[in-house]
Amino acid sequence: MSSPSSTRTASPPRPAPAVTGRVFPAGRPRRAGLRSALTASGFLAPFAVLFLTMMVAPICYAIYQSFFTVRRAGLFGGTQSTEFTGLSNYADAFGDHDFTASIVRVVLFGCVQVPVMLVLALLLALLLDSRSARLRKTYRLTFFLPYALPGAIAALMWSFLLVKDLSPFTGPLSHLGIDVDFLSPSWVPFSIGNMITWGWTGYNMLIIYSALQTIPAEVMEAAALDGCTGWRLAWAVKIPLVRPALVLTTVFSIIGTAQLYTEPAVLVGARIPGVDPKFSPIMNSTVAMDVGGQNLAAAQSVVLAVITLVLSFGFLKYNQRKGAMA
Amino acid sequence: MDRTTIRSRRLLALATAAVMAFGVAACSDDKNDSAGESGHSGPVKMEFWGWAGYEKIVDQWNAAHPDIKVTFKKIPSGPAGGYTQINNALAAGNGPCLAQIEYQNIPSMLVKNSVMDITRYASDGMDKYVPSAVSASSVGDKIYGVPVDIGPMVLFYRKDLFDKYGISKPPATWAEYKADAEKVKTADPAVKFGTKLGDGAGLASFTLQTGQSWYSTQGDSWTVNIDNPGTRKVASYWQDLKDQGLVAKHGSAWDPQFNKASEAGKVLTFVSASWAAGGLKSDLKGEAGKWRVAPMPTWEAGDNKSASSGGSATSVITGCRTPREAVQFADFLSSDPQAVKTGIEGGLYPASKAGQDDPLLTGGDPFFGGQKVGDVYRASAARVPSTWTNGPTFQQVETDFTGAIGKGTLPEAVTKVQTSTVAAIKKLGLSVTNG
Repeated sequence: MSSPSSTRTASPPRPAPAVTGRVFPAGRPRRAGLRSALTASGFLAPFAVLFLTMMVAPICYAIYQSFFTVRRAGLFGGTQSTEFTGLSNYADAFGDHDFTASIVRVVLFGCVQVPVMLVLALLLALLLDSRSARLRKTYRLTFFLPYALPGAIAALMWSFLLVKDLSPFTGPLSHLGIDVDFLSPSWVPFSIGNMITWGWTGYNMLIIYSALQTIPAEVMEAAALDGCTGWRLAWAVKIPLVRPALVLTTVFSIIGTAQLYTEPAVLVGARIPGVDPKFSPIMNSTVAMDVGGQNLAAAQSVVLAVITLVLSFGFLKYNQRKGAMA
Repeated sequence: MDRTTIRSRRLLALATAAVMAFGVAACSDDKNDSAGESGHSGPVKMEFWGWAGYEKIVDQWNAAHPDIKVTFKKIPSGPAGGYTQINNALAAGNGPCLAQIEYQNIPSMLVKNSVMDITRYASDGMDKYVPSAVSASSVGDKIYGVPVDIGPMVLFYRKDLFDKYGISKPPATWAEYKADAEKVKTADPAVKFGTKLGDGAGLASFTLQTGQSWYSTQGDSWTVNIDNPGTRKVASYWQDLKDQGLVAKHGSAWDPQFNKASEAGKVLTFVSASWAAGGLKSDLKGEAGKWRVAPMPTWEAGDNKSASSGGSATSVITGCRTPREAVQFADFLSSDPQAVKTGIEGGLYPASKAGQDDPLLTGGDPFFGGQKVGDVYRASAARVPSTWTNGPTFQQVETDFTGAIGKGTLPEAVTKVQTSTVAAIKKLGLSVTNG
């Protein structure tokens, strides 16, 4: 029987290398500790500075802004004053039908699009990983290529491919008696889902594929000896072993879906009727910002961030618990 | 000291240097219009943001004015995100000194405290510009921008296709427009006479032609009147044309769909502002000599009312430390003969009275078969009713119309946006009543 691991990274898992660098001479523990702390902070400093200024500070500022309201007087609000209004911006955000509808829309959208994309990514990764795969590198690159295209450009390209009269698909379909407009209101969510699936499947596939590569060779060998091959091997051995990668890609996808913006915004920018300019929550806060409601926009952003946090961490926790029980 | 320690020290030093370099870079990105504050010790430097092709004009200014240097930065067009960019930069303390602002957006910029009152610098030069543009750049007796170009609306039509379908002259009224559209549909249902009306800006322009206005003010209070008889008439007229398949359902001028239909000879006309000629010439070079320009059809025969769409002014942005120099530049951009000529070449119809007499406009235009299109634009500009008032929430109205038209009919959209606009103005904290 040939080894199923011939293409796998050949070396069997080595014993963990001794961490010689961290073993300090027993006589001088304090100075060494100080030195390593300095080293650590030196390495951390660039990240910490960027993280604090680019992430933490804006988030704090948005939270702060969300508790205030600009009061205006006069025809053009010439006299303005900012006052603390507590949660009133949050009340406005939840009272705004367009905003709440966009949250529901994006959640429903994610429930359909994320599973479709991840199942597709898993299938492709398994196919690439299978023993009989040919031209592995070529296919890996091909599947990954859409991700290399900037999202806005990909969306623009798809808008040309989908818009009626220019689309290479609608013409032939109408000859078959199927008259569809992929950018009509009822089709738009599916068209956007298609764009995102096209762009991100390769990315997720690559993460899952890397996880498949790290499955120890002896596990595969043992499975092969037990006569476990093909789909059964994938289902019973590979998929359970790449579960962490699947959880990771799901969390990434949940976050990505919550931040949906580029694709619908490009379609709106291309003046395609039928795409709601308030399709996603972020688009709502952009509109609020445009009309001078930066405090409302801040509140909407905070709401969106909390929802994203709850969904992604909730999913993570649920999986950890399930993993612990198993 | 062992090698690992040396290496880690070196890395630490490197990291520190990187952080410092980053910090210094951030500091050196100073405000560039600060030179003027300390008694003009050096040359004045100003930034100018806009989306029209102003680069060449800025170069001309810089060549002639070595002590007032203007840097032009191209931003996305206002409604496509340019205004947001200006307002965000302003909030962050990095706003430009000058910016291109469309007339209809001036009140919205005022609400955000983004544009400066330039009356005392600009009032003397205002008689150089056509009165409608001056009033569009002002609110009450205060001036908020120097007018650059105006957008008198006209009917662009294909002479060759008119001949083909036996239409002897361009429609003078909207009734004739519909009759011509029916005639074309009977000859070939796949060919459309015109393009649909599909957004808030279009609806506003057509409403202007009826002599109605979406807004009015009384003291410190706004009245919103989007749902008025004029707009209702316009909305049901265009909805009817769309329902009957008389105008192209998908695509209006400038969409790739329009260009494709035009290349196939499947669309005969579109109604738009003079600046649309620039797009026609660059997108449809192959149709040179086939297009003509006619006055915008009217509601009543001979009522002589036209409309305008777009056009913009150069405004001085709040916080600019050299407003006097900024206005000098804005005036140059709008009225210097060479600058105006450069603008016309780029497709702008000038707000400057002298500019409208430029030979480029009064002579025949080969793209339009040698027609003197400047005369048509000028006549249209003179017939634009002066009844319109712009509202304080331009972007919201645009967005809400786009959303509502996507979901329903034009008349339904009018009712919806009336309500949402009153709510939006109220939310801004301004006083507002339902018209």
